[in-house]
Amino acid sequence: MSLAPGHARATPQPPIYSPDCEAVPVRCDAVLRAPLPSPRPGERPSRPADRRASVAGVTDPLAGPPLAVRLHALAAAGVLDPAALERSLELIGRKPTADAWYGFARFHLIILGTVLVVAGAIFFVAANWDVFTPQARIGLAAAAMAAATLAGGWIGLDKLSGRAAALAGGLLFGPMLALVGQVYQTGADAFELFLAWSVVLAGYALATRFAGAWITALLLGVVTNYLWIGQALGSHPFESPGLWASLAGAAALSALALDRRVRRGPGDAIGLVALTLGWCIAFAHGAAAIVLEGWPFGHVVALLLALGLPLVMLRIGRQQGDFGLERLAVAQLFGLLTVAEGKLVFDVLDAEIGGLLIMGLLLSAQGYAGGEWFRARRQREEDAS
Amino acid sequence: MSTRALLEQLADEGLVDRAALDAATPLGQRTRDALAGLTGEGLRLQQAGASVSVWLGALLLAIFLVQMDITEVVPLGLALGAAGLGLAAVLARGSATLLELQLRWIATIGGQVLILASLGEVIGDDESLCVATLLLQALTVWLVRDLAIGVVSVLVGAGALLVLAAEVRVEAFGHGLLALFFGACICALWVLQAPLTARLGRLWQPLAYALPLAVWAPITIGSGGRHDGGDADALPMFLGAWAADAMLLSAGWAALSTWLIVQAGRERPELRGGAQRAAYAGIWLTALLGLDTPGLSAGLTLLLLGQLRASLNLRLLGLTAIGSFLFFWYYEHGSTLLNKSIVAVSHGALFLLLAGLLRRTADRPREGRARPLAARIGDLRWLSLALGLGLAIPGYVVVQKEQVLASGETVLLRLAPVDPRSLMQGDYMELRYALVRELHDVESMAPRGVLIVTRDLDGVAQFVRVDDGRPLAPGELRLRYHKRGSEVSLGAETFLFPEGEGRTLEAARYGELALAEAGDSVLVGLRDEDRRPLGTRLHDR
Repeated sequence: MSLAPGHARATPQPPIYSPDCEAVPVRCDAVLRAPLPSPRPGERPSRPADRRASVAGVTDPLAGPPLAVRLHALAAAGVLDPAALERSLELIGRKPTADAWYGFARFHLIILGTVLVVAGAIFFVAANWDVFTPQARIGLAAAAMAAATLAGGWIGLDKLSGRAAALAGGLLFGPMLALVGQVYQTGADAFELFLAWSVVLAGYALATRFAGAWITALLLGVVTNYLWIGQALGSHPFESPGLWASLAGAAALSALALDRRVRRGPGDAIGLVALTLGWCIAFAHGAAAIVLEGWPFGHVVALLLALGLPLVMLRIGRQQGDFGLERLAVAQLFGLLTVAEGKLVFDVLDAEIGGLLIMGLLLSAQGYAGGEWFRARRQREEDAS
Repeated sequence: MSTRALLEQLADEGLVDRAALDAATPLGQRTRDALAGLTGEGLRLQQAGASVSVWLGALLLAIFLVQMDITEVVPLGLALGAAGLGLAAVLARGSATLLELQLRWIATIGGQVLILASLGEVIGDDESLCVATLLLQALTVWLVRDLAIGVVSVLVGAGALLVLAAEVRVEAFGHGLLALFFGACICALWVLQAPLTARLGRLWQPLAYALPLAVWAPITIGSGGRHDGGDADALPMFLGAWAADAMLLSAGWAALSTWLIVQAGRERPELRGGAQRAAYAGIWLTALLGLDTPGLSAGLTLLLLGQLRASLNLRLLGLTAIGSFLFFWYYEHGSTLLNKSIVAVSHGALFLLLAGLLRRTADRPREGRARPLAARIGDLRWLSLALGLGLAIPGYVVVQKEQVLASGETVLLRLAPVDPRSLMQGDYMELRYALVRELHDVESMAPRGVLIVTRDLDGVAQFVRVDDGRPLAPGELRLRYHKRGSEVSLGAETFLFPEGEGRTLEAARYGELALAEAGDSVLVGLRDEDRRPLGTRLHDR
């Protein structure tokens, strides 16, 4: 990842391609916009392939949008002097206005302030300070939670400050329950604590309609699942019965993510978090299933899930024109393929030093195939947009 | 707007020579050369060419050559490595196909590994190898004209510098200074981007894009670390042996943030005046309240820089640095959790206060008119429901546990403790009860059930049997259990204690339980070998 402003968003290009040059990996702006000569009587009309050949190698680097990374390159090459670079960055909106500064300051002060106050409350509870009686500590925590919640409602949930206050109320439930656990020794990191916290936070999310609250509840739900596997089942995510709980969690997260992605698009934050979590868990299970010796039934299911999920993602991605989803799916398939190759080369064939050479070549070839797919698919995506 | 349209506008304003638009002129050619790898197709190629598969493949091929002992013949290893870098440099001249671009990566990674492995044969110490790595990265950036490879080289170079600092044992303050040095470089690169791009040429981009990523590690992990000679119980704002170090770091980050605000005022004169003064006050108060936490100030500096340069990536990096700093800070034992709590809450309160002041004083449209009372009451109704649920759950637990404490018999269980830190409840001991070891045939036991115990003369529980429904004999008590896999839990396997009591509780040999008639229990405290209570007791019984 590089931090070039605009680099990551480099893909959307103005529709400067002619429909005829969809498979041509070059810019063909000027040439293809020029009218083609009419065929003479008896002569075949020129085919798209001929036209491609006529423009092959022609590129207009100035045709793309003026991304910051391009302007920096022009300045580094001495084309833009300092004054020209300053002006060009201003023209593309890289100099925030006073209004933008105001919005930035207010948003970050409220969000960071809320997060730090809640973090401070967690630290305070964790300190287990014995100056106050247990009842006073629980009472204080309950009062803080109630005050933040009601303040949020009073300010109004249509305002950022109101939503942040209400969310702080929901988040303070965690420290309060932790405090109860501390006073009555109900166990450190008990899954019940996180389960209750995620349920209550889901209630707050319903009330506040705040995506941040849903995301936090989702993350707490995932933590709950893994604590439950260890504490209640006495198991492990990669062995039965914990494996089933982990797989169920991955399937549920993926289903939620894909449903939201279809209904709300790739920008939906809750869907994005669920997709990331589901993808990581499914991949870990798929890789473990390949690496582990023998084929216990649970791991066959895990591998099927790990292979099935990217196939579904690919299909939905194609249907929806969602290239990001397709990329994730291909990355998962390639990742699992790599693990399988590694297992074959180093474990089954027991190739030691030679295995490094074989794997190096295989991965390089895989990288090339993936790169070609990416390039071709991305260009189609851009043409379509 | 296209790049061409922008250049035309700049040419109209007299800021750019119009020849830059004409491919037939030398300046026009230079313009096209500068953008060659950054066209839509170029950026696509960069993304397609730089995949994990290619990197891993290149690394494995290089390791294969090292394993073949090629680098033991040092001149051969160096020559092959240099050939790899040379090939990458040649391939990086001008536009490339996907295969050529991937070959660039393979040649660069392979060349670097071979050179470093060869040097490792003749260089004895890790410090020198770090310096060699640093120099090799500089050489790579200079030789290979590829932006992505340059960014990764700067990252690897910065990593080598961090490892070097750890090797020469610069301690927490040294790491903090290094982070501050990186921060100063980043701010300089971005604030002075116009003059520095002209001066540094193509070196500017890899440095400016990669260094913010490199600074993340020392900010997150190093800046919260404290100072061996420090007094862990001192409040952060008290001047202790460590205060001068921490003050210097905090003041350094605050100075960088101040510079950013000054620059914002230069670029947007309407920000000067009250808004700027409030920002200075916020920055320096943050530094003052967080003398113990330069990591927080550092994250804020990145956040401000991201806003100054309208870079979402930099802003996200700043937020990530703050979040991960808080996480690592919690587990860092240099300062007490109580101190950390004071620091975090005071920062949070300061930010919320500033947000309120900003809203009152700024000459901006409000977020909208206040909603009608009925709508707010509607919000309150739903929130009250959620709040009710949130208060009912702990309320139920409190009532249940208080009943056990009020009516329960005192029983001691012999134990064997260990001690980690909980996710959010602070320091705790993990307890293992000797009584559980007396259970035979755990597999045949029900998942949940009751054990029957008696007490010896010292009140220590002795296992009698698993409850089979028979009435209790005199002196027998019930103790609930549940199974976790093949282990039996008595429901109180951890003891959470006030921070700082760990040493005292090391002497614990017994867990003291209040045991209700039905077998429900509450762990009341710990006792030593002579059965004397240890540490703070929360429940007087």
